[in-house]
Amino acid sequence: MSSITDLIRKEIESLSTDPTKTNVGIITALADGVAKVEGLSKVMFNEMVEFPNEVLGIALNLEEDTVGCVILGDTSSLKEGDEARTTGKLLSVPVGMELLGRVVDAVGRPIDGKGPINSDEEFPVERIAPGIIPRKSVDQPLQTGIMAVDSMIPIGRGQRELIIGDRSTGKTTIAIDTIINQAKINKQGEESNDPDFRPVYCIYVAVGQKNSNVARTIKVLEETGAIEYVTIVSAPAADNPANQYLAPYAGCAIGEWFMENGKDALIVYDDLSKHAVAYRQISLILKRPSGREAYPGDVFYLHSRLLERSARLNEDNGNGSLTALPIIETQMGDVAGYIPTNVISITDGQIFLETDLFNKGIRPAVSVGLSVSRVGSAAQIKAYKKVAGKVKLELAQFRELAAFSQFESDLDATTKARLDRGARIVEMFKQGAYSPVPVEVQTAVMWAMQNDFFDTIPVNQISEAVDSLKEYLSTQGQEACGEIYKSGKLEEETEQKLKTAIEDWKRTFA
Amino acid sequence: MATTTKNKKVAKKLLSLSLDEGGRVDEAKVRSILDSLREDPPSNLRALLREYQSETRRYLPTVQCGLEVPEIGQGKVSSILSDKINASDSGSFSLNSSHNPRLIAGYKLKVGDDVYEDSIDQRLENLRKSLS
Repeated sequence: MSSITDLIRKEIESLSTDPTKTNVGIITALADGVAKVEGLSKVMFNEMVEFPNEVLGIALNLEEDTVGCVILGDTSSLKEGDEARTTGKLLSVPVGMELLGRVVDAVGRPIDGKGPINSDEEFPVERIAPGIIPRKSVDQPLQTGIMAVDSMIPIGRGQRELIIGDRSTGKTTIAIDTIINQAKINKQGEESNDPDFRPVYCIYVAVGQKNSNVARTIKVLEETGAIEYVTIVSAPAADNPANQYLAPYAGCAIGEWFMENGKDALIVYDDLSKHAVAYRQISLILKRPSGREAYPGDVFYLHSRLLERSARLNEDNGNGSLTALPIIETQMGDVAGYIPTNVISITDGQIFLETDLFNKGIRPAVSVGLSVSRVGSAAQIKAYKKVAGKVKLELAQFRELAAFSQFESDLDATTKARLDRGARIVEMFKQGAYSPVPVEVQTAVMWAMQNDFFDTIPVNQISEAVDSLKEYLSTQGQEACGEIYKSGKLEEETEQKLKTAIEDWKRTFA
Repeated sequence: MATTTKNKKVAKKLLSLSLDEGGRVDEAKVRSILDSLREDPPSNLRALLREYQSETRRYLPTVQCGLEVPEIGQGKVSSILSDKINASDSGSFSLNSSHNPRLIAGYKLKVGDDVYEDSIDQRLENLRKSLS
């Protein structure tokens, strides 16, 4: 009992008894989650403003006579004439390892029912991106576990790779697969006790999505055991636009903590189209001038200042990285839309997913022609680079020839061979959802394809054969794969072991 | 938009007509302005009056200090603060005292949109925030 009274006494003693000075204003108008406040002459841009009943807002519009504040929470308790006061603080979110495995809202409050987050550090949601000097070029791979991506559109740590496509083409699945693969690699690395191993922590930001979709994603992450490496920032469609606008910045601040503490992190923004729509809604309510498609003039800056915060830092700055996978939803495959072109120009490449391919059963439905990674093979291990060098060209040639061959009945031998090889590669790249493949197994399968081991298998059985080979390599062909995993190289000796293992598999498969 | 700008200009003019030589808003002048507007109302009287009210509301805190004390009899606090204000270079300020029992003890002074507060109510509020 005395300890409780001591605790309260200490708290009282620590309280400041000096007079306080605050800057106040009066709400003159309140609508659609935005309050117009008269007064607040000393408020700063992006400063948190406190309203009655502990409702918070952010000052976004500083005008001559009034301040436009977006309210972060329930506005039903506020009314015209209520007092608003400055806090002198920029909006901040809790950061640190304590956030892993948790689901938080746009201001970092836990919403998963697992109790409070015991983090003693906070980062402001809006920060200036790292400049040129602390950066380093991207040269470390970030394996997605998706063969079509890792072979043709490799992603490096610190890169910004856009995932773009129409609705229901598998955009989120690619992002979730990547997160699951990071968790698998992290577990493998932790078990190996390798001192040089660098785990990748993940942040998944859900903007404007249905709560059911977010719940499904959380369930997948829990079932695959990936949740312990992931922080989910959720601002669903039912949330107010201010929270949807802030969520990506909050997620980015959480990711920046990992980067600035010498760790590697991956952040998925799902999706930035809805983020732009939320920002348009706020801007229109704040009566900012609108431009193309009613978006405000600074909609490019909205995304550029967010994505520029993803970087790979050099050794002097901790050698950490923040990789971003923003997602954009297109309408009828139109990549020339306003927001898609903006984000395409900001990012270091894009994975374009085609509805036609998806409907044909080619999943992931990656369009080879429109997808690119500007980092390229710099972000691939040597072994993979060796086997995947020509595959993108072969597949692109196949798609082109396949279109023409529909009108030709008599094809020459070279064209037939290319078409045949292309069809096999397409089948090889087919991969189920939430089943990422380790890079050493991917390398071995690609090596088998390059060395004509699949040529005697009918095209319609390639997919089955590849699955069988993956399983064989994961169980009985571990020796060769283990060497690739350890060294990252494909030596002659390893190739010989691979050859033996694949020949053994082929006998069992036949 | 043009009407709003015009109303703002007229409201600013009306406010300047409402001030005495010391820059304070004169109640008698405000009454006479309102009377004349009532006698010869412009087409957009309601909007104009709103602008006039906003302009006045924004102007008043720049020339008036609002002092809240918990008891009516706390004339000492008022006189000390009044002396301080008069001694400062902002000679055009006037002090309006009012009674706010919620403060329990101490004072709350509003100058422009800055609020200086040293009261029991504020300390209890700080305690509540630190314990929650």
